Amino acid sequence: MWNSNGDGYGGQSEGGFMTGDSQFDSPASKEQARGRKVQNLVPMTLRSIQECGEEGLQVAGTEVHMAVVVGLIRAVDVTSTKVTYTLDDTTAVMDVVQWIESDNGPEDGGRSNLMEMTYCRAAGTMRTHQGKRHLMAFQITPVTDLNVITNHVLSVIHAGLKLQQIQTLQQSSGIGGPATSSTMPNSLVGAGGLGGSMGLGGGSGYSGGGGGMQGLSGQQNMVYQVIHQCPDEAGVSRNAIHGNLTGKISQKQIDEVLDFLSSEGHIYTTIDDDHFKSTDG
Amino acid sequence: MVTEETRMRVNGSLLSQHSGRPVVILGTVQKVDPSGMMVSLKASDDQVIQVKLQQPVQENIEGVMEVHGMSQGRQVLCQSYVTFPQESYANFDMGSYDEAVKLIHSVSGNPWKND
Repeated sequence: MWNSNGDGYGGQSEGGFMTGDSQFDSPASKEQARGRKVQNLVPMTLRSIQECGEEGLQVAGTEVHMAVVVGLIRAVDVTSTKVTYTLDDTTAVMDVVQWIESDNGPEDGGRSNLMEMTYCRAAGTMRTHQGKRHLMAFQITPVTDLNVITNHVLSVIHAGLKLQQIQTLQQSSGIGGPATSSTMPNSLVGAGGLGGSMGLGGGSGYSGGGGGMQGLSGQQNMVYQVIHQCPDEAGVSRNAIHGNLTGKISQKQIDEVLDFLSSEGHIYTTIDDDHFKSTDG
Repeated sequence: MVTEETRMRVNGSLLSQHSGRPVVILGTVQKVDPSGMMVSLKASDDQVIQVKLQQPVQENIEGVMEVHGMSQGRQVLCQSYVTFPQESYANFDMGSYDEAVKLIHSVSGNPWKND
């Protein structure tokens, strides 16, 4: 999860998507739901973390649940309950605190590799304690490959630009709609929605014309549409479906999808076991 | 030793443009002066720059080195430096690093930029 920022974004999109769903169910709880549902991981600089307001981490107007930072350990302070790493990522210096879990026993969890004047990568949430901001780390790992530094430099730049783009898209699509400023801070919903609809592009695009079935995957919808669109009383033959979807879905997969659609009651067999018609028309 | 001020990552040609400002420069050690007070560093853009140390180095410096310090044109006055174990830079892509450094300076308003 940690070694690819792409994964981080995937998680973010999914999280945002789910937030959207739950809000759709209960629009009244929109305000309370705000913030706590965001589950994303965004590469940031320490200075950006320090410059965020007290309400929480933000990048380009998007709430951030957890930040990923890469920096040089300037100092290590070990107490019985926690380890404090003073991290320097060239933009700022900030403490990263890792609480020691007692059930870890005598193991130090790889902590011995996190020495002063070595690079590490940490993921955590922002905390303010006695007016001083720090990062509460959920994971700290030593950087054993210098390319991680290059990657982090680029990831931070990319995340800023990408979230800015999402924000801009959302604002332009919100014009004329009921979108108010109260939906803006929750922009991950938008981010997830955008990502989600792009990801589904193949399947939903295909079914768009004929009214796709809810709850079917892209492939299942494609097969269903072929059957649904056939006006013949006898239905459409298995061979015709294979031919229709050549190059899109393998024959084996089509047969599996046909079994699935039959057992779910979306289609039924007609003159023999190899001819199908859809149940709703 | 630790400056709270934001340091910009630079390569050899960007170093002279940041004269008098705090910088971070990463490169490959070319040679260490016998006095131990000066290191020649081949920066990520292949330019060779001089690193002035404040104390003579006690250890054997080789391989990839990252210097945090003050730019003085073609030289950098070292405030602290990091060296890395050989296996951590065995596959290091210096060209990509150099591109990343250039993007820090060219993408407006990015979080690495000091303005």
